[in-house]
Amino acid sequence: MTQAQAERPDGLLRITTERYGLGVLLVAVVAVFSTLPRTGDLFASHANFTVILGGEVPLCVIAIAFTLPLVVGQLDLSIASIAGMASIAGTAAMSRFDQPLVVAILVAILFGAAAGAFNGFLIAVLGLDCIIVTLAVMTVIAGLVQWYTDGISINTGVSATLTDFGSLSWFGVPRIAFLLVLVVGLVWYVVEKTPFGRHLRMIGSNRTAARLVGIPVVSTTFAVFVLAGALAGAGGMLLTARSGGANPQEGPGLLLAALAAVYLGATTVQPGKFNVAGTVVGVFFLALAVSGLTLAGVPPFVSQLFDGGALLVAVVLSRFLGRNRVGTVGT
Amino acid sequence: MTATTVDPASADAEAPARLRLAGVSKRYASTTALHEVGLTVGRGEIHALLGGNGSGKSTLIKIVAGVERAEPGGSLHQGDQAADLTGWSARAAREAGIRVVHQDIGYFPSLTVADNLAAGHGYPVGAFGNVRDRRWRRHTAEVLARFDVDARPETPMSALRPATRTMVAIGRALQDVDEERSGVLILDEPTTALPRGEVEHLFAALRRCAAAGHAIVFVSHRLSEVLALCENVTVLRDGERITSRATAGLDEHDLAELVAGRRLATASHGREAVADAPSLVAVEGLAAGPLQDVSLRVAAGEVLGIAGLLGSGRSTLLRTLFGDVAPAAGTVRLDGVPVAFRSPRQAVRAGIAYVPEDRGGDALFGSMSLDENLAAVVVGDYWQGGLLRRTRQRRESARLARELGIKTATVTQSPNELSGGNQQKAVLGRWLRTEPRLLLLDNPTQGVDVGAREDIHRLLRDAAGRGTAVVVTSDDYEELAQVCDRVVVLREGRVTGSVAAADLSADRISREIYGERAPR
Repeated sequence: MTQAQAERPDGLLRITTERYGLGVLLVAVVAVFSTLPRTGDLFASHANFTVILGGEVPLCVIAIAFTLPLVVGQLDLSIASIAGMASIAGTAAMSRFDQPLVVAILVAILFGAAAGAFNGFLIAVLGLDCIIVTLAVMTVIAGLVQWYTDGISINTGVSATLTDFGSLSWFGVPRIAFLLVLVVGLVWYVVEKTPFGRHLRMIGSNRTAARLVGIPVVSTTFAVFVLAGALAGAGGMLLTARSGGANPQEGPGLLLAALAAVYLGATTVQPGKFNVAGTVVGVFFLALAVSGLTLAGVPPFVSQLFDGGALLVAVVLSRFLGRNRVGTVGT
Repeated sequence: MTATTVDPASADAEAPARLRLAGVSKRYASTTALHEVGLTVGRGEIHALLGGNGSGKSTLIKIVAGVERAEPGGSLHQGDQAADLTGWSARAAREAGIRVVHQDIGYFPSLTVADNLAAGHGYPVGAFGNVRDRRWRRHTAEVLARFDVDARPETPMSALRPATRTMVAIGRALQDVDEERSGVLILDEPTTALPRGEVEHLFAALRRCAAAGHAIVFVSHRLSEVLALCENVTVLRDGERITSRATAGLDEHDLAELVAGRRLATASHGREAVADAPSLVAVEGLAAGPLQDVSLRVAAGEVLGIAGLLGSGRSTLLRTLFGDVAPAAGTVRLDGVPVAFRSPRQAVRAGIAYVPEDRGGDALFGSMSLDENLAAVVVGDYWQGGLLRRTRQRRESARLARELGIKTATVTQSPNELSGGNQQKAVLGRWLRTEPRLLLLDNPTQGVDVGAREDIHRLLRDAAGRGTAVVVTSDDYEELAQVCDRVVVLREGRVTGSVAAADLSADRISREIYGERAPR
């Protein structure tokens, strides 16, 4: 006991550094690129921040969808592909079947939820390994999308209301960002402030113990996959809103960026735990850094190096920083 | 008392000590784990090292084994050679013939005894880097013969009985110790994982080992074993040596008080006649896994013990009552109403609580805080006005932790940082706060020090006093005799006997377990 007390100031310092570390880094990135003569004018402009803020909203929603299964200790690699598929399905509903926007949104969310339910059945009910299942599902989805689109984007017949929502601003802030605030608030509330969320954390911490204190582990895990799929479906619709169409390559391409953001996010806000707020900080940290580097004239491949590198750094960090403390990230 | 106290100096004079530790201290940043501790073990002596969790015995073992350094000082004497423990190393310990065998002996189940003997030692190799199998098998046979181990070099480890596996581990540790000088064997809780029947088998082997001249330091929480096996005992408490003396003239109660450093409640409790009370739980003809045709009754306020060896089906019985295992046949009635729980969730809702045997693996949420662990079953109670009330949860958990006697600085730390006894109290407390009608506990005091053990017994009796029906299993018959109102004996999945309050004793229970086999 005395030992723990003696370590307190040290531990508190460490926890504070960890909790705000990524946020401080994010501010530092903004400061550096805003003051560098080469990037300053372009980077620190309202236009650039608007582009980054609006542009990253779909990725944020998809990354949050990634976060949910990770809270119960499951990695769903198919989330980004589900978003891509939902984007195609929702856009096709408008473009090829002349359906109104509301129906298109419902279609996208339903496609996402159905794919999530399929994952959930195989993983939660049958108890199969999440990585193998979602890798297979991801590949199957890629095949279905290719079959349906021939690899060509759907760009016609998209509702103007949707594209306006994706590209215009209210009070100088991208409209789509308001939706992000809503989604983040809602998911954060469910995970952190409801008994259901606490059950998710308990399942992620120790499945057997969760079952033995009376938590319905199978149905809860199943529900998480369905929720994550539905959220990815909504994220897919946001992709269409941003780009004005549905590109079959766009969804799957977000896999690594989302993973990097989620793992980076797990080192901050609630260090050692996958958490929604951390995920959002992670997305914007990566986006701002890549934007700054691009403006500084660094070639585009750097963004891949950066996402991959960030994922590695995040995993290493959570291994060392989170060790021996409440809430260690495990995959 | 004075007659049995050993004067270390005179003991040394009779038989030269194989190992003598003096003034061993260990200080961490702000805590003193060991303060000027000494220990003397002679050739052929079996010496018990006792202490509760946090008493410093693990630290002492680590220092002797060279895994940790003594600080600020300490010395180790063998014959007239003295070594400074501040500069001691694992290698030096090895060269001095000191070997530690841990509770988890670390073996490869699918490999042969010979291969297991080579682990950490290496095989003899020929000119082409090939393993010289025949030579190694011969060496293995020699080691097995030397330590009287009932095994053959080519037998897979998994085919051996548990006590024999421990013996192989001991043989592995001592295989290259110089016979002339003899080894110092430190056994860290070697019997915890052993079924009761295996313990005697291991003890016979240890006595032979000691007779061959090796010095043995035996660490165990089971006081009856210490009294049965060891000639002398050293007790540590809070990093200091409380006493070193002969075990002759001591009984378990004396030892328990030495370890706990306080007066403990005497064994018996006022057993009321609960037999006449109507049964809360009535099990008829239950079959599941190894269980066959099990019938038993438990009354509200009664503590029923389930005694049985590993594989007797005692854990399956508890898990079946908790809805975690589906019964193949039979009925369970709760308050006269037939129930068939299809999941633990339904059992929890019906007021049943279950403390599993493996607390780390099956009960604790290691990555969550203590308050979240304590609130695991009652999360819904903190859902108020659409929000989980964490502050109230922390406050109430802190109060609960105090009531349970959980030693912790804060409820926001992980339960992984607590000692075994405190962890178990947390798991138990999580259920007690729900005031269950039926409380099931699977071996709740294993790996728990005597102080916490008494606390757990008290909590069980208190719960029974409030009308909870308690069903508890244990490897320790002394414990069952102490806590239970009645004990039922399970053998190979069947109820083969029952011991009522008036006849309850450890001896009686073990006779029921090892008694004549029922005719088939």
